[in-house]
Amino acid sequence: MSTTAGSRDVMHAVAVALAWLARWRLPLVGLVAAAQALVLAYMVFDRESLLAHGREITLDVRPVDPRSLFRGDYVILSYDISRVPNELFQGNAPRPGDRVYVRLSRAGDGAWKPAGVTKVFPANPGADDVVLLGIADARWWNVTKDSTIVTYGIESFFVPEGSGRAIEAEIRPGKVQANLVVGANGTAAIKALVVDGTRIEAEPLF
Amino acid sequence: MWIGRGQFARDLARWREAGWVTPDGEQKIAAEIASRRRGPGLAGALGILGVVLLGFAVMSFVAANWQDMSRLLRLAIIFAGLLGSYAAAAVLFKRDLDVFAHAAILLGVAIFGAGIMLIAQMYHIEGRPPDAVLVWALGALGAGILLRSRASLAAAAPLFALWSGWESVLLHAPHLPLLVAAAVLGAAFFAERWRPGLHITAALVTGWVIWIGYIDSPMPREQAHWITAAIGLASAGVFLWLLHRAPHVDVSGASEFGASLFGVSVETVASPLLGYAALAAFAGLFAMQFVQDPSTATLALLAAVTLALLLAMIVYGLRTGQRHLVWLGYCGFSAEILALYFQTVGSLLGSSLFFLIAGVIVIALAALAWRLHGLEERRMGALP
Repeated sequence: MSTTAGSRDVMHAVAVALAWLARWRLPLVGLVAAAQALVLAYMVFDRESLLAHGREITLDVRPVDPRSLFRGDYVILSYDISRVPNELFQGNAPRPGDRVYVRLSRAGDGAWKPAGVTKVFPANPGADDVVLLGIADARWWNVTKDSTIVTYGIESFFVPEGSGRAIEAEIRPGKVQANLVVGANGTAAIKALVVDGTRIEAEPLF
Repeated sequence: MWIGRGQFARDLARWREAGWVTPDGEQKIAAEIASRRRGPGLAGALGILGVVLLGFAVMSFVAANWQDMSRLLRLAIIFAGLLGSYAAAAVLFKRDLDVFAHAAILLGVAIFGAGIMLIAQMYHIEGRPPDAVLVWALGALGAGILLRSRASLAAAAPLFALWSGWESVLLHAPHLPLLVAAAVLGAAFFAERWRPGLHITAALVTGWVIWIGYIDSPMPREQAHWITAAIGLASAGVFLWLLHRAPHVDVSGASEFGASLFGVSVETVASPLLGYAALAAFAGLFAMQFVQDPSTATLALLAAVTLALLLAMIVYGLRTGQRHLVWLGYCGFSAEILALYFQTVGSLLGSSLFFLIAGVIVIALAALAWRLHGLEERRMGALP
């Protein structure tokens, strides 16, 4: 087939496709609207079902910084489990952006500690263990001799506008815990922050 | 070549006076030009601008007012806004008010993005931020392709750029998937036969290439701007080849340039792309000289190469009538000289020596420009 015929075929196909799009324009507007609405609805459904059915655990947190330009006020949270000991990667140093499953076990003092890291969901986690899906943030400044930073998507918590700094000032000296829910696939979400025994709830839907 | 209406009217009058066009012919040509579609027009432009403002209103709505409403009410507002925009688009299409319908589609795309951010905020979803940007970009791309909305396609470009830039920062490596996004976007613009889309796509890819130079390699503070320069020079070579080799290979016989790609002449595509390739090459060379900290000998060598390439581009642009290359060359030349001045003054050369050398170079350039000007005059004069 000559290039000319090939180029003519493609031109023809494009013209046919454009005519088709023009003909079905109104249904397509509905399709695009429905698809985008479904994406948003899925985000809501996914979180609501996680919050409703996930397993609850509580972690100690350390707030870091309370301000975001576009998203209202929020506190950035850091956890003890954010630093994962390098020996748990079993020689497979993670690349930045790698998905990792971090298995948490309860230590003697009741605190959750990383006990294992795998690239796929672990086959037989202990009955009491919790598995969290995280992303290895293994850029050079986040990797020390002993540990690598892993983020779990639970590092920020939005608070009413203007109250970020107040809350932070209040909680810095005190003991802060995060009440989390963990889904069957390892996704975690914050249900509430507990500041010196006072719960700041993520709001309910209604 | 593209000229404005005013310029064309003046040329037309001149041609009539020269006797090349009859007065009757002049009127008919003017009427024909005036009857052509004028693009979106003022009303459409205002509609689009209004939508942009509304989009920002929706975005700042995310930051403000957040504690006063119940979560359900907020969700209801997002969904009503989203579906309402597309419903408005459908109604406007039905009434043949296409320009406003496209503005409504753009509003829908903006609310889609705001919705993603707002829901992420409501549910404390941190996740991977670039994933959220990607979903938004895909929403804009889908709406742009299916509804033939050029504005949505154009909006998808900066979103893809943000997504890819963010990913490469997180991954600490060049982010190849952007090229797939750019290819799809470029194909969509191509199908629409929308020329500014070519520039948008080329700018997206050029930005990506330049950004490669700024991604830290695993060794801290070591950057690879030479890759940017190499990619820029290599693609410039390809486009030059296309411009000068391909037109003589008669592929289609359909276009006056000999070769054509799906009815678009190679020249109309390769000539602007050559400008983008030159821009990438210059950005790489510039960063190698002034962002990194080369030795004096390396700096002198790089500066000489850069200036020679810029001069070659100016001469080439003048000789082939590709004016955008001439202007890019002038701008690059000025930037290079200015940066060299700041780099060298008071240090290795001393300012008086710098001005002496710069003066000699500028005078030499003036002489060159004078000769080239004469050359062009003769060329123009020789035209029938």
